[in-house]
Amino acid sequence: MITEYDACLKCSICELHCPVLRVEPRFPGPKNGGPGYERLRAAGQAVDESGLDFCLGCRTCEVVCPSGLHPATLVAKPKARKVARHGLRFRDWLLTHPGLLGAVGVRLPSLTNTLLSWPVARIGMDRAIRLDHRRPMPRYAGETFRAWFARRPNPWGDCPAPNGQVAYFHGCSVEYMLPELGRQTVAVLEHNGFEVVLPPQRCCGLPLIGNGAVLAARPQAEYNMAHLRPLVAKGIPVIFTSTSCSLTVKQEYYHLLALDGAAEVAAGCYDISEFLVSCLDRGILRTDFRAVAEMLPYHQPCHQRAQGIGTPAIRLLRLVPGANTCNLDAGCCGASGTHGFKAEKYDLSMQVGEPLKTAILETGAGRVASDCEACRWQIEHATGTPAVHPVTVLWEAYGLGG
Amino acid sequence: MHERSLTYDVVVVGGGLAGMAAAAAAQGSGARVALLADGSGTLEMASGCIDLCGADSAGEPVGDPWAGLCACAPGHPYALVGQEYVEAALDAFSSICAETGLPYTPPGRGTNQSFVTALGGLRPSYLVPGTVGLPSPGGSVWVAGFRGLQEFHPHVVASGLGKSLPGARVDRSWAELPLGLQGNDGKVHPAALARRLETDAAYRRNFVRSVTLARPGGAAQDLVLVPAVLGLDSPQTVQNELATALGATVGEVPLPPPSLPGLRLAGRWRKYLQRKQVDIVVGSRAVGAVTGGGRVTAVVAQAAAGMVSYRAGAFVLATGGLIGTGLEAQGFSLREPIFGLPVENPDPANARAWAGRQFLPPGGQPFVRSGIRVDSSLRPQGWENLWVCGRMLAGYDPYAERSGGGVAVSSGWKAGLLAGGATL
Repeated sequence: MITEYDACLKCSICELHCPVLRVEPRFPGPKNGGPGYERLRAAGQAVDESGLDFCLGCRTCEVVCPSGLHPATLVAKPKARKVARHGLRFRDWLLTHPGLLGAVGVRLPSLTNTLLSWPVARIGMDRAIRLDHRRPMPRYAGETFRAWFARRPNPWGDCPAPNGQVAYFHGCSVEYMLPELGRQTVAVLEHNGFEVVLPPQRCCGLPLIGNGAVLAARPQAEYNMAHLRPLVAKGIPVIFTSTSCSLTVKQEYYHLLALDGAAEVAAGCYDISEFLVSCLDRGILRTDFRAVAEMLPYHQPCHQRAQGIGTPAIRLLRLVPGANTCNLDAGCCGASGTHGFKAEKYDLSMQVGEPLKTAILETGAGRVASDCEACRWQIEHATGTPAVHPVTVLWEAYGLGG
Repeated sequence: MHERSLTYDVVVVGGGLAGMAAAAAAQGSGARVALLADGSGTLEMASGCIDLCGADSAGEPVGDPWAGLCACAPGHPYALVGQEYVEAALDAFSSICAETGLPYTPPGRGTNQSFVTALGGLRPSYLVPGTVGLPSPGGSVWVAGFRGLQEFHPHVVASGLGKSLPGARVDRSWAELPLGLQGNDGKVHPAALARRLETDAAYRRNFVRSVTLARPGGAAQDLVLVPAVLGLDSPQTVQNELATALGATVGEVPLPPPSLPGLRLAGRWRKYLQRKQVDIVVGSRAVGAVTGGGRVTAVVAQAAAGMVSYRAGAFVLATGGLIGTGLEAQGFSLREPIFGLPVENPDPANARAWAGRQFLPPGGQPFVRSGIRVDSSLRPQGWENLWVCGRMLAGYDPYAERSGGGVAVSSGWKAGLLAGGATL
């Protein structure tokens, strides 16, 4: 049996592609920081692990590795050990529990939003807990997505929907901050003949995993698994609109947490664009789109690229007559979920995202499409260009918004 | 129950040079194409230069690559592809590269061109990226290293070049790099330097000034050789600014793997294919196929969520050889894992038939010629809609013959044209 670090050929292709190594010389890089340090540790040698924390977890190294290794997972190991020993610092604990702040936010949206956008408060938070004051916080909605869903009647009444049921894993961002994206997703799925059901769910656990609190992510993951597994077993597909949630449920529940039945659940999980393209392939996707006249550059989130599903959103957007879509293909946006909110990571985050920012501004487009909320927030912050989920574009083109 | 499947006209398995050439050709003939890639291809480890033919099968250098190509044995990929296809493919390659803003220097009629290696040798190739330096006999050269960049030592290059270019004047020196990219140990990563030079005009000005200061005295040199780090994507801006400041031609020297000229080539082609609406699926490892009666109906690939079936009318196998992991080795047995195609290889019972005692014999090692045997339509015997191209082909040695790029581009192009044509 060849250990993972011995399977590394030292070809350095990961170094050539790593967006962090290009801008941060203190980062040892995926090759040295991953398999390289692992080999030294196995030989009992002391390793300076301080630079590893610069990793954004974008998984680019895993996508480009010709030997199929997971350098990012190896790079994250020392952080997970540190967190297991000392726990999360308060700021990271706050960032990794989006449901807690979210529950407060949606009950008191005007107070929370005002506070979180008030410069004095932000500078105070920056000083006190190192939450960077330059990064705008996402705004909380006045009502959760689930509350909206619960009070609406099932449009199919007692008749079964023609194309059957789908389960929607909306994630924390739709629940507390972007319920309109959830409503649009439901409308697009219903327009295509599906009945949407909402399984009980908690945060997928990626913020915790990304911050090294792997053990703390396990109970949430088990909760989600328990509710998704019976649906998948009945042949009901699970749909995601956040690519970080979908990557976590598809990949980390199996590879990192090794949950029972994870591979079986993963097989029933689809990113929304991936799912709609499969409907197109089966001839059941409606294409009654209104014509638009819009240049619509598209940014693929790293966490979707790592899923090995290609770029389904581009195929969908090209169905809309008059939507002139191109793949920006300009690398990581730099936000990397919670990382971009940290004061010590803000500059790195903006530098990593510089090529994408330039590419967007060069198109001169009025808005950008991207499937991940963290990417969209970063794009809006860096370029001032509004960013939308591809589903929003379809929802508009179907005329579902009136 | 949750079967994932997608349908195309042509599915190309493999994202290296041969696979991308096949995808471009198939798309150009009107087919809807998917390209499956698992990891970056070996293209990014190569120099970015496209060899055609630099030596015959015994390892003797050939002056005219086209003459060398015509002299190939009957089962050689060039003999199977045919000279017209090779010419058309190289023309298409050059025009696509030019269209994407990464022009190649065309060779003179019936000759190769020689670029400088990181050891100062002269290496014959056919098409060379426009930024790569091509020294001429009798000229004067300055080899400029950048302090902190470990992959390039001006003294090594200059001493090698002194031997390969007898009579030429070769100067060498180190230029200091502006601060900002050095790690704690003073090392600078080539990708970090390339990106900074490309994107930061102020850094570039300091860099040009610093290089100018490092110029050795005496008569001005007509060619300045620098490591190939002048940009991740568009090296021309830096090259031009440096050339203007120095009043000399500036040429890059490709570094040991991984290589930025290879990365640029791969990146430009990826963007070309995206613009042509080829669906590129990265992180997707083809692991099997659905076949019957000599026909392939689907290739099955591993994604994060499990298996995806890619159905199509035609399939192109471009997964590389042993290094590209298209072939798997278990002792003296080679296997093609996706379709289970028979692999032509030396006698498993005789280790000496695989490799000679010499490490790099002039005619190459016999095991390198292992691969899939195909006919002149590039299909393995008995297969109707499966085409094979690139390093996967049997009967040639890209290293000894210096033919890797030419075989990849031309066999990929022909396979793509035939696969695309078969579905329309």
